[in-house]
Amino acid sequence: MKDKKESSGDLLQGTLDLLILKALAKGSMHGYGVAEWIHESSQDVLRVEEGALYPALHRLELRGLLSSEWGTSDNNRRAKYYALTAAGRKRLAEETEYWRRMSGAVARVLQTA
Amino acid sequence: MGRTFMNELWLRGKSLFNRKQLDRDLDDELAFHLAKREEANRAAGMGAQEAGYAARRRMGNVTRLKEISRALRTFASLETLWQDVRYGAHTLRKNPGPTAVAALTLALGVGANTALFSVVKGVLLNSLPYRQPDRLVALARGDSQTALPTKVSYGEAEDWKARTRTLQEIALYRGWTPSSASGGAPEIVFGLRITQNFFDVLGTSTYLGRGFSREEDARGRWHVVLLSYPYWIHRFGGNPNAVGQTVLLDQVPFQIVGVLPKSFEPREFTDAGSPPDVWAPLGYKLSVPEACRTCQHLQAVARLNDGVSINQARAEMNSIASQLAREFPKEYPPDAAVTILPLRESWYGKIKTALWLLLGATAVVLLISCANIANLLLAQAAKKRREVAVRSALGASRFRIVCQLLTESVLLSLAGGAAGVILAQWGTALLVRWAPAEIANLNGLRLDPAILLFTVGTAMATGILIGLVPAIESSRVDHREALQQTSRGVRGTSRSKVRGLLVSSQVCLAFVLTVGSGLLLKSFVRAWNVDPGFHVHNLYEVNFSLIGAKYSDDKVVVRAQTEVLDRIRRIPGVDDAALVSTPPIAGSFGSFDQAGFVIQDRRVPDPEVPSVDRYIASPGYFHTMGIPLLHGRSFTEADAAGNEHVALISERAARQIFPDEDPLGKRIQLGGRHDDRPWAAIIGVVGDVHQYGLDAPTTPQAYLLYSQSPFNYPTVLAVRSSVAPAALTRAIQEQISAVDKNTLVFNPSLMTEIIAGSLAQRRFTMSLLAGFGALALLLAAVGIYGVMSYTVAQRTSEIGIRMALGAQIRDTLRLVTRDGMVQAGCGLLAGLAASLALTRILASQLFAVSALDPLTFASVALVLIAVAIAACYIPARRAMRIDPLAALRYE
Repeated sequence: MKDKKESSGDLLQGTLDLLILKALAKGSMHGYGVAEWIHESSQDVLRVEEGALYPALHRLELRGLLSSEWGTSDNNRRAKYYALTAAGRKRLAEETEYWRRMSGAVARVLQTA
Repeated sequence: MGRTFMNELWLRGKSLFNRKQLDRDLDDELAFHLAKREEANRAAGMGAQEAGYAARRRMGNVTRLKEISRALRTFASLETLWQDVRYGAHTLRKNPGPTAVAALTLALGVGANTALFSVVKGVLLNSLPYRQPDRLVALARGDSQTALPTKVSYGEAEDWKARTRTLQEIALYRGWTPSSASGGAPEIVFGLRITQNFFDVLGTSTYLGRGFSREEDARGRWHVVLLSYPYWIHRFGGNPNAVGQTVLLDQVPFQIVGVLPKSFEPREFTDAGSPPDVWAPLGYKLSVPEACRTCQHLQAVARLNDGVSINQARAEMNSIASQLAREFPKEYPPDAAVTILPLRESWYGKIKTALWLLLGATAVVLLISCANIANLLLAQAAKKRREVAVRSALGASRFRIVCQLLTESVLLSLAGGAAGVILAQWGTALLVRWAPAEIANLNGLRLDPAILLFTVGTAMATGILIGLVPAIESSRVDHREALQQTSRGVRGTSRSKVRGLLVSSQVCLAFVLTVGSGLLLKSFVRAWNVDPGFHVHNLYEVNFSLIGAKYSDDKVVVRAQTEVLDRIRRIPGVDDAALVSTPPIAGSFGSFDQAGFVIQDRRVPDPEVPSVDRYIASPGYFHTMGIPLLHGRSFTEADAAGNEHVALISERAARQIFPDEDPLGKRIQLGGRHDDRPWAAIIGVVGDVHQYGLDAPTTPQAYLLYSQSPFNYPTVLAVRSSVAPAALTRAIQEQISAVDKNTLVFNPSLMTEIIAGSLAQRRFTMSLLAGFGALALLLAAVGIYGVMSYTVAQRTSEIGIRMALGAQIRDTLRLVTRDGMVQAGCGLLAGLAASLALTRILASQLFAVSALDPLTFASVALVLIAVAIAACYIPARRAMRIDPLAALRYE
């Protein structure tokens, strides 16, 4: 109950959550990777603030939408990798659908002469 | 949903236990991110240093980020609370002085309040342990001449019963102290004689056996007795077969008809200070001499009818009293009235004012304590400005800072409250021990848990409320200003105004309390210094009662008394000894014997017969006591042996009863005109003695000779001796037993103790209020000192600069002490005004001192000024010693 209201009510946070879930849909990644992926995939339009990214990651993890494990990165440093859980995958689908409808609706409104 | 919730709970719970690990993980995660970003920046062509800076800039406030994440994942409140508690405890430990002062201050406030309020509740608020206690009233017959009427006569009470519609029942009772010789040494038993309806009025039934029947409450039939539960256990081992047995009281057999319940402890009904042990019917009827209309020696307790207010009862009873005064003009003065008081009021009315007064004083002390703590916390908060600014600049949220500061003050008040609990426990025990008999003998007077809970709660609330102000204020600081400002304080901020106000009010309250205790102290000293009319030093008293049928013959009584006296006089170390019927100084349990003073050649209507204190004494009494002979001659042995009846009167009696005549040679009788009996000629006038206490006015007095007016109810031996009291008592006991081994010897006491006892209530109120006054003074001094030290510490560098620029020590001193002295001065003026208004409440407690006694006011003002100067001086001296160079370098 509470989760739905938060994700649909708070556009900014909900959007960041959606982007994180999407970033991790392809496979596990560390926080830096998530930030860079969003940056690149949006063709440098969206720049994720670290001050918001990590709390969001931790919150999603706490809600059971993400799982995490510690691994070694390419240059042998200790890094925390996040991955989608089943619940996360389901939520990604829901949120994507919701986002499509919303953005479509907004676009239609804007196109109206 | 349920599963994710459990998952969350699990993760959060886990994080409670491996907090350190999780913190490290968070650090690692962010460090990794920074490293990656730095790498990327370098790859984009930044210099090594620039790349690192840029990464960090982009990350923003790391502390805040961590805090958010931490709050997310943990039971944040629980964990930070623990952190705050540890931090608060640490801060408090770092300042042991102020912390101890504040906690102790609070402890004293809580302790004193709980202890005193427990007593007040026990005395004034707890309902009496009888059925519908608020419907019970005490009745007494009075008129405009009687200050505090307490007694009624049997005759008038019968009329009241017949005529009243507002009172359900009127029960009468009187003290009864029979001797009990059954089972070993004779002893005095304390008891009451009561009308048959007494237990119905109170709503008490017997534990064993039955109450008295109507037939038993009659002349010649009243030899039945009810036992108190403790007496039944003590004398009969709790054996139920005791009911039906017979006991000897005053040598007369009484049948035990029942035992009263354990919970029934009506000690207030007697003067003995303990609940009565034996109860017998009053057994009067209108024809017995003691039942006469003017024989006011009984006490009355009654129950109001349902729906009747005490004022209605008062109006009705007063109109009945006026009717009776019209019907019996010889017996009553025309303004005869009935006083009706709620039962509790009739017992504790006298001590009530003192108790409320003391309670007010403790409330004031609690107020001062709170002001002190507020002061301390405000000073702490000021010192913390910088720390708060740093934490807040580092990203701690305002809420967190307020919480943390609050924790500290709550910790402080908890510590104070806990110490207060201990003090309250001691305090209550101490109070009960010190208290005058009226309080000390009260049923179940002990620390009241509800009150304790309340005061500790108050302490907590105080801590939170007071803590809230500086906490919120200091969390609102402007970082830059606070950081730059460092320890250099600014004068005249709202905070220092608040502190000044606190100090002023402390001084004001301390002034009021000190003036109050000063006035009481002066009253006590004045009362203590009153000349009792006899020499107190080395004066010793003991009572004895001659028991046995043979003493119904007066001659036998006198012979035995004379022999006892002769033997006592021969005891080595006894300087002098005498006999008297009633010893002077009636404390709360003392006795007196008033009688009408009838003059042979002056016939006046009965109500106009003057009343005097009657003493029956042996010839040497005045010498033994040191009562001076003023005119004529004293009793001699020849008088004692002769048949010519003689009397002595006191100076006051001579002045009041014989204003224009010489009393010598006048012939008098005490206690009613009996022309068939001999008249006693007044042969001399002696000094007045204080019969009713040092702080009570003297009364007219008259003395008769023991051989001419025999008495045995009991006899009081007055002995002047420097022998240790214990040894003296033993020697006297031996000598009296040698005359008759059945004689009852009791109540040995030193006159100094009797006098101290008569002033016990005054001393109690005085010493408690003095204690509170001293406490208030001390707390005010601490308050001033605190503010002054703070000022000096804040202005160290300013003073340094001034001194470097050539300011004189005198100027510095003035600069530093000005604030403190101004605040103290304002408090003093406010205190003076408040005291002028408030000491009036004290008036009833004062003796020979005006409530506005200028000397007391002046001395208290001086003391407070001295205290204020001392409290200012110590920090000021520190200011004078400031080395200008060190002060400037200090930053």
